[in-house]
Amino acid sequence: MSVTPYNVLGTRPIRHDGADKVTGRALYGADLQLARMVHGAILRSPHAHARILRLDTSKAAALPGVFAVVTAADFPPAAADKIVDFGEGDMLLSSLRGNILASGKVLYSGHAVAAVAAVNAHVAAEAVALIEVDYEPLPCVLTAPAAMAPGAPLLHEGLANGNVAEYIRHEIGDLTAGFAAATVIVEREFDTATVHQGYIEPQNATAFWSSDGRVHIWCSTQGSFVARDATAAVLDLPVSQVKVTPMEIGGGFGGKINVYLEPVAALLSKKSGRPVKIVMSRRDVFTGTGPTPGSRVRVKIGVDTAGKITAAQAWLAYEAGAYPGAMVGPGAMTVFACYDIENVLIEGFDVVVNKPSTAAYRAPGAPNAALATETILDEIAEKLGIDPLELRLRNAAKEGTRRADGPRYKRIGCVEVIEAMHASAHYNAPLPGPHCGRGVAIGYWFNIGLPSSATLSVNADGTVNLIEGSTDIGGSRTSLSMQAAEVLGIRAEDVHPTIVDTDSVGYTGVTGGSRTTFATGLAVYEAAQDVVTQMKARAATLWTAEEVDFSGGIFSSGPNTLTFAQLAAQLGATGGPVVGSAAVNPRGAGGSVAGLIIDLKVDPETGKTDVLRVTSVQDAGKAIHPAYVEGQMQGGTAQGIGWALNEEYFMDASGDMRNSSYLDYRMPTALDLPMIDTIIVEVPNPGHPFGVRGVGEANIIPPLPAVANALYRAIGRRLNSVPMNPATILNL
Amino acid sequence: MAPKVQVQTTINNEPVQFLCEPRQSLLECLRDVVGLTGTKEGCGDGNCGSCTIKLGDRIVTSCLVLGVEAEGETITTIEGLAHGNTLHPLQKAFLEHAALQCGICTPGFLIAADALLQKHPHPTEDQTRFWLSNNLCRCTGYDKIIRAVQAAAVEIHGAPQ
Amino acid sequence: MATVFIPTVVRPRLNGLAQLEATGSTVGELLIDLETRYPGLSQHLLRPNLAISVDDEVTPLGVLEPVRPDSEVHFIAAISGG
Ligand code: FES
Ligand code: FES
Repeated sequence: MSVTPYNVLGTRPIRHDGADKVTGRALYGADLQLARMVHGAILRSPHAHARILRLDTSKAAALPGVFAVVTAADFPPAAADKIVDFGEGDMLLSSLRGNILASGKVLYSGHAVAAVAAVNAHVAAEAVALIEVDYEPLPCVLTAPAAMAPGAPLLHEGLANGNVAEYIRHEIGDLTAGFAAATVIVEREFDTATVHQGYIEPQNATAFWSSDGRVHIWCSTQGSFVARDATAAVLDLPVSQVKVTPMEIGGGFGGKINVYLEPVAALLSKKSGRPVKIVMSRRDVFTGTGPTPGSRVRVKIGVDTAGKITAAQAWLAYEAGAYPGAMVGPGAMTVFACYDIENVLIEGFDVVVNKPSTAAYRAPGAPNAALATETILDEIAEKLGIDPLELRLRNAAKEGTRRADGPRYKRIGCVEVIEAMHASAHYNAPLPGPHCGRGVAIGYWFNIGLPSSATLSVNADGTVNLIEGSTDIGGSRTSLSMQAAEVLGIRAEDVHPTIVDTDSVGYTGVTGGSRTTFATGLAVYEAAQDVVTQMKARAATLWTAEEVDFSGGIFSSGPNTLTFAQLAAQLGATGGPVVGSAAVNPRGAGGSVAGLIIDLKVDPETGKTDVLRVTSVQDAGKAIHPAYVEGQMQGGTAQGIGWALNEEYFMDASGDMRNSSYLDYRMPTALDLPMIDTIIVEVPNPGHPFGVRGVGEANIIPPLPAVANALYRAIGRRLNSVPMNPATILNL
Repeated sequence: MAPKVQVQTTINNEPVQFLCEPRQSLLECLRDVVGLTGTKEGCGDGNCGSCTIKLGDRIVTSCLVLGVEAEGETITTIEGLAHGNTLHPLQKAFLEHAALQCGICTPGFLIAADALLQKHPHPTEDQTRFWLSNNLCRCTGYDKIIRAVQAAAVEIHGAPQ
Repeated sequence: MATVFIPTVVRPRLNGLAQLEATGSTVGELLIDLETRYPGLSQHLLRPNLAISVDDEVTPLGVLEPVRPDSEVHFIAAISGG
């Protein structure tokens, strides 16, 4: 028998929304049908950079079946430099609005310019084609190095330095002395292409602007409160005037935090007096939503004969797309985050270019940076004749290690993950034959806290209803219910979770930053403790006892005992309903380290790479529902492999994306991947009562460098750009 | 706007008549006209498989079929896979193996996998991957989907001889 | 006295100083103390894209976070995540 202290945690119950999702009953955003609903469509810019000279919507408005047309002129007036605070990052209102509907200039091909609501989507598309726009095309700039070059076309006035919106610098120790102490120094430069999160469900939003002034939004979002706050800011409404009902969401990975359609649907509804639904096409998703930055990264690492890193330097330039915010901050924070290094200099540049405004994508900014660090370490390990995992182990960050940006680590599982990789069957198995290579890499992601709220009400049959606000993208209803069940001593199936709208639960941050099972989990834990406290008081009333104990799902006092369910049946007689609630804003999110071992085979004639064997390793702190932890690891690994080998925005010189369909933007299919083995490491997070660390993101960091390292072993050459597709491999 | 056409079909074992414009895809008709929104749209151009349905005896991406082409046809959608309240073994296996995360791809995978198991009662891993390579899933990395389909094959047809 | 670590990009404004000692019982009080010696410093530290870390933990309380005499205060990149 295993010696787990838990009854529910670590088991694999069927997810609560499972039956709805395998029978087609679950309602996603696009599935919503409302009486009198009409359909919206968006006009998008064909130019990557152009001034809008004239915008005439009259012909569109005159088309039979059209109910409303809106442009940026329909936004209420607001101060240009107003800052919007979402509690999860701030943004200039002008940038937020500018990306939703362009005014003055278009900054990328795909930039939204105007929108139409019509009786159906076909008529809306016809109407969009009738909108007349005169553009004055401007020279465009598409990569960070080009945008930083002297004389580059400027996207905005008044950024910090030309197209550089922000400069980041972290410095510790003495870099010169550190490199002087090194025996091996390797410096390399890497380029990565723009890639998309690739969620299968396109963005969608339905809005109804009621005659009482309240706006109701139904949408697919990672955070209903963030969608509410952003929509309210764009429309200059108090947040309480907007209610967001989160529909089921078909994937997000960071890409469904920003709002694109919600304010537009609301304005169309205000003008038409009808509910308006807008659903993006796949091309809209690729060209009109935020992919993750392309980048140029230069890294230099020095190591002494003992295999100790003596100095490390990084220069990171990330493409923000049309508006500042390229996630270079997290790139700079994570580039050397796995290692204990005394002498470090990191510089980061947030660079605007004429591409879609970028958004988060699973550990945003980290894979681009890790590609450089982890392939250079591989090269150094080879030069020193040290096993690549051993080299990492000798330098692994631990509790107390000072990060380059200042603070010291709390307990992290870097050593444990490397050791698990080293001990794995995969790492110790021979490669199957010629043209094969094995690569390893690790990555670190910080994870976040942020507010969450939850309410539990006790039913007379001994079950509880859980009311929460974290949209469920991968089984979080269950990972949250399990934490309530563990505290209350009941089964996971005895918790009935419901995700409600923003009027019906306390503020809850996004399902992102690997925070849901951690932070909303903590809220659920606290709410369950609140229930226990109240139920103890009921038992005390029942037994006229002073002290009541609760453990293992049993209330007791002297000879009296009642199970949770037995006491739940007596609530009516002891004072009425019991409702527990909690709102938290936790610290101590506890970062997660992930590692990957991958075997590849390269066909020397075609340059095609086959993935032979994959093992993903990650520190989960405590795996609440191991199957969904494995699922996160497998999904992040698959996305990382796609990013490494195939995916890219293929832009022509005019800034048009030439592969904006799934046929040409080729994501991994079932045929491109083998089974993805997983090893869950559990180094409990001291910041959570069950030790939970979020596992949603770190797993996407190691694939880029692990694939690069495996390719090197297979073909004997190091590649310095991603994707590492057949053309790149053959053209070496 | 061209006049609407009346289409007679059998959907999930029930006779269904619907009116559609000639330009409407079968996917759009199923979702917006008939109200069967279990079939999903991920791309609209035949490349994601979310809209997979059974049309006659073959599986199709319903975004590439016109509504009017369904005249006289027999259609099975995700809503018709279970027998009343009893889930199909594939549906059960997907739940037991945690083969869905966001679930948007799941209806398409289930319909495609059902057709696979009718043609190959005991598909190999390679056969399963090949058959399902028309269906994109961005969340799972496919591992648990493949395992669920193979478990369902055993549940339906018994262990391979 | 608590130690306030100065982000690298702000150090040129302080002739390269990397850390400063300050007194106070909250982050806000430390900054008020520093303002008397380095007028205008806090506007470079209290920026929307910087989070406040006290004793190696990002604090949701920001300037209201209590500090001890031996506390370390850092201003680090605010991260959200995907
Ligand atoms: S919606 Fe039909 S294949 Fe994607
Ligand atoms: S479960 Fe999300 S796309 Fe497959």
